[in-house]
Amino acid sequence: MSSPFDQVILESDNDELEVTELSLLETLDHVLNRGLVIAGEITISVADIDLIFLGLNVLVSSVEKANEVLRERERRTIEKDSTISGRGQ
Amino acid sequence: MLYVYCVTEEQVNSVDFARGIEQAPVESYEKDNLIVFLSRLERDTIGITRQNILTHDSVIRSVLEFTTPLPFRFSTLVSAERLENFIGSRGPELCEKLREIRGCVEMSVKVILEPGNPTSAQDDNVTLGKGAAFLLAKRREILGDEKLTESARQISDWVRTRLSAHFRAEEVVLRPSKKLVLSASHLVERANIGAYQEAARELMSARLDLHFLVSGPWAPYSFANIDLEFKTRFGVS
Repeated sequence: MSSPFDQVILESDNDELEVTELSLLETLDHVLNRGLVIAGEITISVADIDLIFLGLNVLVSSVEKANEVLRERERRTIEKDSTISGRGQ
Repeated sequence: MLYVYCVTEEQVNSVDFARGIEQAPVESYEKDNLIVFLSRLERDTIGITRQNILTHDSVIRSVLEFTTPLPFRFSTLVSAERLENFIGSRGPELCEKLREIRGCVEMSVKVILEPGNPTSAQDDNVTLGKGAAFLLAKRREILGDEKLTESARQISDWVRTRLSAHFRAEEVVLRPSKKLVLSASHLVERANIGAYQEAARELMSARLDLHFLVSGPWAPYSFANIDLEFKTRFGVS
């Protein structure tokens, strides 16, 4: 018997994806991107390879988000380096 | 380490949990009138696997059948000491959040829009110098962005108007430049789930030019970001 809290997916066009795939994608979107966070260190891994290690008070969820953080960090490093080399000239 | 699933303001003894993450049993930890559902694991990392993700949501969903929990984000592993500190220091905010979501679930609406070409064919036939061509291209880009932003805003307003009678609170993310232009999460009282779903069906049939994905009920994942709010409020980064 189904429970009133069984997840229901309503989709206007199901040509491309099966409902089970959509259900998994929706679950991923919810559990990885949202929810309560305890400030602290988070390490997550894919296939037993540690992917992300972040320090205190950094919130990380999906690989996409992690990539954004890493790109921003890289950009800041480049900016910092160019500032330092600019001062040295 | 403790793998935490969710926190509630009431004990739910009648929940029949299947096994939790890594097949570990699910237990409850009580402090300051808050109950945290957790599993004890011998490891300090969690793999992003289909099984783990579904198990995380499944445990939370089991609690949701009895009461509305604040779900933790996937992969939250903490020491007993840190969990105790968290509950001790953030107790008032957690209680306030639990009060806000009491008796509700989250429903999700996503809208996908195929963006049209904002430029006109007439402009393409005009021969221009390099500078003028650059400025025209820039103008097209800006106008295109404005058009998409306005379009996304209109869709968001329209969805809100059609569903607002059935939800208590809303979290909206607009991405005008993406195909997924709107991602809305609605806090819906349990008694209104059926009416919300019916309104959502009408919504979908009213705009055949848009692609909709409506899902739920979920635990209120989108209404649980205490730390994000804390950061915004106090400017901590």
